[in-house]
Amino acid sequence: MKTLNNRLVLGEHEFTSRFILGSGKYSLNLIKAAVENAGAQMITLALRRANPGGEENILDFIPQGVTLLPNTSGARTAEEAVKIARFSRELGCGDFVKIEVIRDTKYLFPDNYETVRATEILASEGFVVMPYMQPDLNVARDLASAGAACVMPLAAPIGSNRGLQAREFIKILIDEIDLPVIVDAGIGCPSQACEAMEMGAAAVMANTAIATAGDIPLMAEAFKNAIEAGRSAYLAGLGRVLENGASASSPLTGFLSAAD
Amino acid sequence: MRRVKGNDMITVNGLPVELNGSRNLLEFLNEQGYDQRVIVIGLNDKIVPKGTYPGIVLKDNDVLDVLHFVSGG
Repeated sequence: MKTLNNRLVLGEHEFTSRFILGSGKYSLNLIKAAVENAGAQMITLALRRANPGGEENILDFIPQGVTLLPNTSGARTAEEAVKIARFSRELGCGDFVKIEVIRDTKYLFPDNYETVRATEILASEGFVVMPYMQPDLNVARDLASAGAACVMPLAAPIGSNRGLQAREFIKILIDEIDLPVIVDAGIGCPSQACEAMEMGAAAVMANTAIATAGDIPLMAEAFKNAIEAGRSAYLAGLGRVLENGASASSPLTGFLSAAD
Repeated sequence: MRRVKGNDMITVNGLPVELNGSRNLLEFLNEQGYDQRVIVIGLNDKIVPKGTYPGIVLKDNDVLDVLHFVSGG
């Protein structure tokens, strides 16, 4: 039974949650409730310059035991991403890194070529590399060869909440790549997260959909439930779809005709 | 920024800062009020391992990056 192996494996690490939560664009004071309601075991962070003085730090708001996933946002080249990753690791928060290399300023699409280069370097340095990418089979194969722990294809432009626009291409990755496929960016509501999981995504990452919701902790919980439902549906195997016509769910005999 | 009496100048997160006398890295960070639990330091584009701060004396034209985690997706 498929449920016997119902853990998300990234490098040497195992997770029971398949929901990776972003921490951007909402109050630090809501992070704890969002993480708890999401059942999230992994949360993303960014690295930036610090100001002098005792400003609040996000690390003090994240519940103990949650794995930190620093991203390389702000990087425009592989070299910059590598540098950010190395700095992040020096903070002593583990070996995970989400590679984001973005040069395009309108659509914020990840640069697949630079992402492969950064993956190769960081994987060789022992990082658990989680590359954010445009869903492209050749690139996904290159990322796998470069030592990525998963691939993170975008569903739609980041922050757009437009859903699974890249559905067909993500499905190809799920079918062809022997790594977890984690759908990242663009997922706007729980039903879209559920659909991604139903088609076999290993996990979903969401940030803006939660951050721009009316009630952030409640939306985190809604995503958790949707992702779990989608995973169960995938493991169960979806029922078939008829091309034409109909198929009765009740016996086709008349109500009393069998007894007549 | 204008130098006073030839004091050393360093750059911290892109801004000029004047050193008022000799400072090691640990002293400087404490003076500036950085929370050392949550920062990572780059000095002249190289990562400075935590624990080595007291042994590093800042000098004229050093470029310091003080980084920390913030919210992000």
